[in-house]
Amino acid sequence: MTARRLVAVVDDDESVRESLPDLLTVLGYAVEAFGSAEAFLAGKAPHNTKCLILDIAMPSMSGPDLADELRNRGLKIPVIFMTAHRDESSRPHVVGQGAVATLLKPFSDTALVAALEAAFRAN
Amino acid sequence: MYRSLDLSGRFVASRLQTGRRFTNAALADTVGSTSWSERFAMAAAASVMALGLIVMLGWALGNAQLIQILPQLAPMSRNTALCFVLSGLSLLVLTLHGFRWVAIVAAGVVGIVGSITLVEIVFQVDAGIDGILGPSYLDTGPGQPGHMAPGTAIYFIVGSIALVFAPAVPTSRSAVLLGLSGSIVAAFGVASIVGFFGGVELAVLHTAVGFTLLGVGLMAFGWEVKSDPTPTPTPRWLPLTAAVGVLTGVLGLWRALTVGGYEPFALLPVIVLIVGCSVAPIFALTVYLAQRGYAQAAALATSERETGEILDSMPTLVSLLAPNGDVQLISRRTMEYTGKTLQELQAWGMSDLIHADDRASTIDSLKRGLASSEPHEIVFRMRRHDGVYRWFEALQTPLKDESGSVARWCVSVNDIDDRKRLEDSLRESARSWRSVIDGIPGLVARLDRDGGVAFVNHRIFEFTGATLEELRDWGTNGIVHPDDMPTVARIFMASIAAGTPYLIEQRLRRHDGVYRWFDNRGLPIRDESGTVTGWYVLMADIDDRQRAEDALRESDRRARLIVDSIPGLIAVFSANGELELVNHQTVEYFGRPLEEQRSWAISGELNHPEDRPRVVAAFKSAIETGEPFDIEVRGRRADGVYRWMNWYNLMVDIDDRKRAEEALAASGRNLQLIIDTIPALAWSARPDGSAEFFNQHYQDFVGCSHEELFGAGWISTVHTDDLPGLLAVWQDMMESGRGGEAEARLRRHDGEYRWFMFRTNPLRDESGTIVKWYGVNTDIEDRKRAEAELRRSHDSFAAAQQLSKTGNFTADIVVDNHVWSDELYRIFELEPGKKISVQDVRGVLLAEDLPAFDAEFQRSAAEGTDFDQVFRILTPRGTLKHLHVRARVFEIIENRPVFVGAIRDVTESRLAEEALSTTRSELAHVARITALSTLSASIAHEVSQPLSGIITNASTGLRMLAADPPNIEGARETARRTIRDGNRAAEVIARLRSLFSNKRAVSEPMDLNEAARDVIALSRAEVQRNAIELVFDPADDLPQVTGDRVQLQQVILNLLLNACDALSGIGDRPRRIIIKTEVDENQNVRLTVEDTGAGIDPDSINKLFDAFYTTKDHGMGIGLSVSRSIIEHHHGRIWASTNSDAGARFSFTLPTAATMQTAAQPSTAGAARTERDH
Repeated sequence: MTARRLVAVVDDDESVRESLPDLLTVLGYAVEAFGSAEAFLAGKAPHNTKCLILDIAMPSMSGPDLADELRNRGLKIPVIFMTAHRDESSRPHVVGQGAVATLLKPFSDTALVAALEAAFRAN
Repeated sequence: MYRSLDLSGRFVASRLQTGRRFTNAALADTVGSTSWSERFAMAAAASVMALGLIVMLGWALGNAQLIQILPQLAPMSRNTALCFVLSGLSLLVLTLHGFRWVAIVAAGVVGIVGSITLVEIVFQVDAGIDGILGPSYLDTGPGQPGHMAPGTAIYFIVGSIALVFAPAVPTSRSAVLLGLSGSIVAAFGVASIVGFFGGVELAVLHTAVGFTLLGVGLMAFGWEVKSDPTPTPTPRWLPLTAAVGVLTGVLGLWRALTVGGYEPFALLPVIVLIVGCSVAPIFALTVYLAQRGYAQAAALATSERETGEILDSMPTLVSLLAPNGDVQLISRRTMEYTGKTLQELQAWGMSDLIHADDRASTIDSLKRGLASSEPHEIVFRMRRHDGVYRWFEALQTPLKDESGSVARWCVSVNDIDDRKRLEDSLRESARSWRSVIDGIPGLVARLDRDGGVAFVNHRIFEFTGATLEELRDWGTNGIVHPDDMPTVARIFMASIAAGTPYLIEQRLRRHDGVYRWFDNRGLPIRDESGTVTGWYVLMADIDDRQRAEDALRESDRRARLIVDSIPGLIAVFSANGELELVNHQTVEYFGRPLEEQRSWAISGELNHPEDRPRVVAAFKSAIETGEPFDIEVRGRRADGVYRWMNWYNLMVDIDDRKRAEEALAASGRNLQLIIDTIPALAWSARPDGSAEFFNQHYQDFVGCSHEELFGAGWISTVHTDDLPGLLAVWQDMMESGRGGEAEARLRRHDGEYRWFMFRTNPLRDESGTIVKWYGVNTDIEDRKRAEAELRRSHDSFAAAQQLSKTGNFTADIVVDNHVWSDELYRIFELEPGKKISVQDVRGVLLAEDLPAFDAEFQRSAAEGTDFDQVFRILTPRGTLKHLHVRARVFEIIENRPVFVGAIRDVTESRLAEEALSTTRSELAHVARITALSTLSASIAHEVSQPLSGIITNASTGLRMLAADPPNIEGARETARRTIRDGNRAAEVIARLRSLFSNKRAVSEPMDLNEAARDVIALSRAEVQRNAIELVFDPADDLPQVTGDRVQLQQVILNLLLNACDALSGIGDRPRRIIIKTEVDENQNVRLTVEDTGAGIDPDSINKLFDAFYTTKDHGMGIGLSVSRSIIEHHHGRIWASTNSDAGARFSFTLPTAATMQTAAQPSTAGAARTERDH
């Protein structure tokens, strides 16, 4: 299974951390899920991850902050943001930081597949 | 002490403190019309004229003695004499303020004569002036022609200059001129006189005297005409003239000494010269200083006048007193007000200025004030100019000089008449209230809460003759009869402790030591909250009633004693043959009590069986016919032995009847005695109604003799207003032949009318014809008054009930006996006086309130406990009313609780409360929606999150099933998760639905932690979006509170959103919100929302909870106001405070559900009410 590409999911919501990895596994990816940005940064995941699916609003370090931090560390991981907030104000901000896509919760599996494809294309 | 006029207050003070030694002198000086100086000048002028005229006469008559006066003197020349006459005339005319030109001409002639003479002497020519009036010498002597001496001429010139110019030049200068020339002339005169006695002849003696007089006269006149506006009594030139005068005198003396043989610079002349020259300036200086001293004093007088003006301008009546109390200055206002002059006011102690009643005390008070040297107040009545006396308060303030002793007193007098009148009227109203209480014809007292005597009316003092102190000790000092004391103490203490009314019959000691029976009623006085604040005690004298009852019992006992003492068997039967009474002997004889003998007459069972039919028949016949009978029968004695006995119809033998008749005769005498001694007015009248007898008491009472009352005479003693009614009843009685009663007022001997009850009964003979009317009039004045008082009190009570929509009742629930007040009938819309049962009340009660009412009713009836409930009725007219009934056990009669209570119509306040409650709930709803709208994004997030999970899980599931082979287990798991997330979404929506709903508030036990958790869940996204760290710190085992979950959540939400707003601008420290629940020191549940935001401005901390107060750019300022309304409605408290480090803290407390239940415990209906309130 080493051929499988590692996708990391970071979301404080437990149901997302349960459901999304299953879908990603079905889609053929290796998945690791983290409850917070700090947990993600603490392990080796930043160096192995090929794509990061990241919730925007989280307690303490937010999704965009984590993306900034990774960029600062020189890690160029394609990022797909997720958010349940439909207010437009956050989107340019997020997209401006080089995100591949922003998925609005709830999103369909096809939207996810498209975003992942875009991410690996970019990679 | 003389100061220039500055306008500072100190100026006035110093001015006021200055002494007063100048005042009268200054006054006299300015007021005096012909002064000493003028008179002196006049006298001097006349003397000079006389001198001149004498000499002139001498010349005319050739009389050397007249010319020389004394032989050794040289003759006075004719011209000198003439000049003296003219100078004197001139001065005299001036002093008389007469023809000034005469004075000028006369003085002018003197000047010319003097000048020509001087010219002749100086230039050695002969102008013939000496001989112009005739020979200028005497033939007696050497015959040498006599000149006017050169010195004489000079001094005449000097004098004439003054006299000519003095009237022509302004007075101040003329005064100088006169004074100066006068002093020179006088000095010459004096020097000449001195010289004469010293042997040096400057001028002949009488010339010298003439000049002295003229000079002094000129000076005196100069003094007089000084008319200087500057306040000096002496002319300005005086010092100078004095110096000149002294110097001239000294020079004259010196000259005399040198001529008299001394060397010019010998010791004595030199000493004279030096001393004289030294004395002259000293003298001048002394005069000057005296002048200046006077000027200062006069200036002070002016300043005093100004002080007076200042006083005049003050708005109060002010005066200044000397330390001894003499009036010195009085403001014009005072004089205007009193219409009196200064002199009159100075003598105020003797005048009518101060009201005669206050005068002595005012003077006394003033004296005490003067003695104390301290500020002092005096109150008195003062007479206004129009003669009206008004009340004044005088403040007497000492003004002290530098040494600290009182220099003067300043008295300011203020009109306090209006204030005084107000006080008087207050006192009067208190007095009149007291007199009303005193006027109540009973003994009235007011007790404090613990039963101590606080106030008693006059009647109590009158009756007991005791002081208030003694009355307070009624428990121990025998005012209450010792036999009654235990009962009184027991009932009284119990009543005071329970706060219930009491009624005690007891004896009270009158001032003369006689105990009389009283009906003692105590009623608690309550404040609005129902707490007993005191007691009213009303005691009515029931001694006569009590005595009458005692007397009746006594008379019964005596009758019984008499019957028992008759040595035969006595029985009394009623008209229908029922046994009413047997004597002791009868009971003993038959061995049966009265009860068992009842049927005897009918059954004859106590008689021998053989005699029974006979006995029964005889009785029967006697009862039917009314005829007497006697019969011999056998009666069964107690021991069962039948004994023969003779029964008479009256069961007395003849002998006994004889005795009875004698007793009756004696009793007739006794009757008369009794009639005359009974304390009632007894009378009798003939069948036609004309009066024939009045007992002694009657006659004494009305103060009329028997003859005056006889026939229809008594009518005059009846009050005219009551007479028609009385006569109508009397007429009615005579027509019907039945007794009756009427009330009317009778005039007492002293003219006072008192109410009486006239009770009348007819006396009939055997045939039933009325032979006489007997009447007794009893004094019911006190009863009448009490009735009137009662009626008044009842009326006012009824009015009060009607106003307050409160009715009261007494209810003996067990036997269903109720007494209602009129207002209660009105409230229930029932016919007043209708007999009421509990069913009547239940009948109108709303069906839904019935169970609660019945429960409370059953509980009260069974336990005898208090009843407190609000219920609704539908009146016969279809009105829905909310009634609040409160009742408590008043007394226990035969183990049944008797309730006394009040029912209040609270419909209006209830409806208002409901309307308020609706409004409040609507406002809360609006506020809630507003708050939730700010959370819309967060709520969307909360819904999206589980939806996202659902869709992802469903997609995963589909893909797992579509795989080959299908992953069934995985698909099952994803379906399970889909359901879980669906439930989660449903939960969010349920929460939202309740928060958005506008349901009527309900009150139920709830967990505040849970409520807070829900709110936090809904706001989580909002909190995160603002990068806020939210800490929830719930207390374990937090007790439940009672309340409306949605409303309390709204409060928490408000506080949370406020905290988020407060953190929005914070970048320099962690953004944190802590929500904490705990049990506080009062065992209430407390929830605190604490933030690290901007904090609260201390100035606005009190306004935070006001409606429409906001510190935000958005928002209406109703969130906190609504929150407070909600919390207070939950019997809680909400407040804000500032954190010690940063940010604000909002807390609220709520009583626990357990506490609320305890509070509502006394009445289950109370709890039901609370529920309906929300």
